[in-house]
Amino acid sequence: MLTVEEKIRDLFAALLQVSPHEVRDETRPASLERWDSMQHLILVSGFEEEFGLDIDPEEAVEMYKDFATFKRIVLHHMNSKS
Amino acid sequence: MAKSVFKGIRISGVAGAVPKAMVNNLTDHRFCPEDDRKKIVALTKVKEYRKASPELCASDLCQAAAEALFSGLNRRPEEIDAIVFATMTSDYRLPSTACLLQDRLKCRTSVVAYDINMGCSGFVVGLYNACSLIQGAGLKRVLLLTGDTQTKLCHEEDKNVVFILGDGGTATLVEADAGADEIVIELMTDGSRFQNLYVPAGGNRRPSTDATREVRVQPDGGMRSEEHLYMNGMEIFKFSSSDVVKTIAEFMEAEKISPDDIELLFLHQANGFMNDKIARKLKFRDEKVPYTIGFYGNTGSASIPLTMAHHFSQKTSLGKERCLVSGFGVGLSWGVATMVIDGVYAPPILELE
Repeated sequence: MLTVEEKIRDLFAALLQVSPHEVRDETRPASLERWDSMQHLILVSGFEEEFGLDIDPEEAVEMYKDFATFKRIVLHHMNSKS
Repeated sequence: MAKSVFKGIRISGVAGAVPKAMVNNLTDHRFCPEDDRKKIVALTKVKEYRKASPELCASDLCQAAAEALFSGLNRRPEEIDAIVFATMTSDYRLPSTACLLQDRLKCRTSVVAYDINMGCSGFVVGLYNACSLIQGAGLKRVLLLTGDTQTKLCHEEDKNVVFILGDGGTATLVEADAGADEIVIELMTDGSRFQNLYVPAGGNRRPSTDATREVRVQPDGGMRSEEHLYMNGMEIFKFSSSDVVKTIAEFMEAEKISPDDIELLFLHQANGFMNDKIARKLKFRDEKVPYTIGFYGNTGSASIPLTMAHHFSQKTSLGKERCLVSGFGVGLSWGVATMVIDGVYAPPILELE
C-alpha cells in the first residue's frame, strides 16, 4: 500500500516521464532536465485533475522551487479537502 | 496612476485577419515527442494557430482588416484622422509602418500616423492613444491597428513559445460620439522585468553578430539563438496571475464594478491554463470569457480585438454590452479597460494567403 507521499512522488514522476527514483525532496528544476516551466504547468494541471484540487497561481509558482515544496503544497490542498 | 476616463468615444467596428496557413500542434512540431505535444495542447488549449508566409507581414493583415471595416461601415479612407499601429513586427526597422499604411489604405496625407512598439498590451495601449487623440486633440476618427507575426520571432524548435504564439492582425475604428458611454483605461509598466520576455540581441544594444545568430540549446532547454524570442515561462505566469490580476481587481473595485456588472471579459489570449486561472481568480463565469486561443493561439497585440471580432461576428443580434478588457505582456506592460460595446460592426475573420 503506497503512502500519500509515495503517490504524489509517483504521479509527479509519471507526468514528467522520469523514474520515481530520480525524484527526491531536494530535486529541483535545475537538477531534473524534464522539469522545465512548461512541464511544471503540466504537473500542476495534472495534480489538479487527479486529486480534484484548485491550486492558486502564486502557489503554482512557489512549487517550482523543489520537490519538497511541490509535495508540501499538494499535501496542504489534499488535507484541506478532506 | 495612468488611469484616464474618456467621454464621447465609441468603438464602431472591429475586424480581424489571419494567415490561411495553419499549424496543428498535435501533428506538427515533430521535434517534440507525441505525448508531450498532447499534454501541451491539453494545458495551453492551443490546438492550432496561423502562421504567416515569409512574404506576409502584420501590416498586410491589418490592412485587409481595415479595408473590410471601411467597406462594411461605409466609411471612406479620407475620413480617417489618425492611424495608430501597435506591433512588435513592423515591415522595416524604420520608418513607422503606420506611414506606409497611410498610403496603402489611401488615407489623406494630413493624417496622424505612428507605430507603438507594444505586444500583448498593444490593444489597450493603442486604445488609450486613440481615445487621447479624440478627447485631447479633437480628432473625429482613429483607425487603431494591432497585429503581429510573432512566429517569425521564434525558433521553430523552441517549445517554450512555438506551441503558443500565432500570427494575426486587426483593425478597430474608434470614433467621436457624443452619446457614447465612458471608456476608462488604466495602464501599468514595469521595465525592471523586461528580460523575462524579449529578443536579447539584434537591436542597437546588442547588435547582430555570428555569435548572437548561433542556434543552440539555451540554459532553459529551449532551442534558439539570441536573436529569437525568449520567454521565461514561470516569471510570465507569475506576472500574469499576480500583477495583472491585482491590477484588474483593484481597477474593478475603484470603478465599483463586479463580475455581475460585466457581460464580457476579453483577456489577452496568453494560454488556456493561465487565462482560466485569471478568470477564476476574478470570479468570472466561463460563458462571460470568450476565447480564440484554441484556433488562433496567442496573437500578441491582435489577440484581444481578434477575439472581439470573432465573438461579435458570430452573434446574430447586437445590443449594449459592458466589457472588461485586459492586455499584458512584453515590457512588462499591462493595462485594463472598461467600455460599453453598442452595436459594433464585426465582419467574419478574413484569411490571407
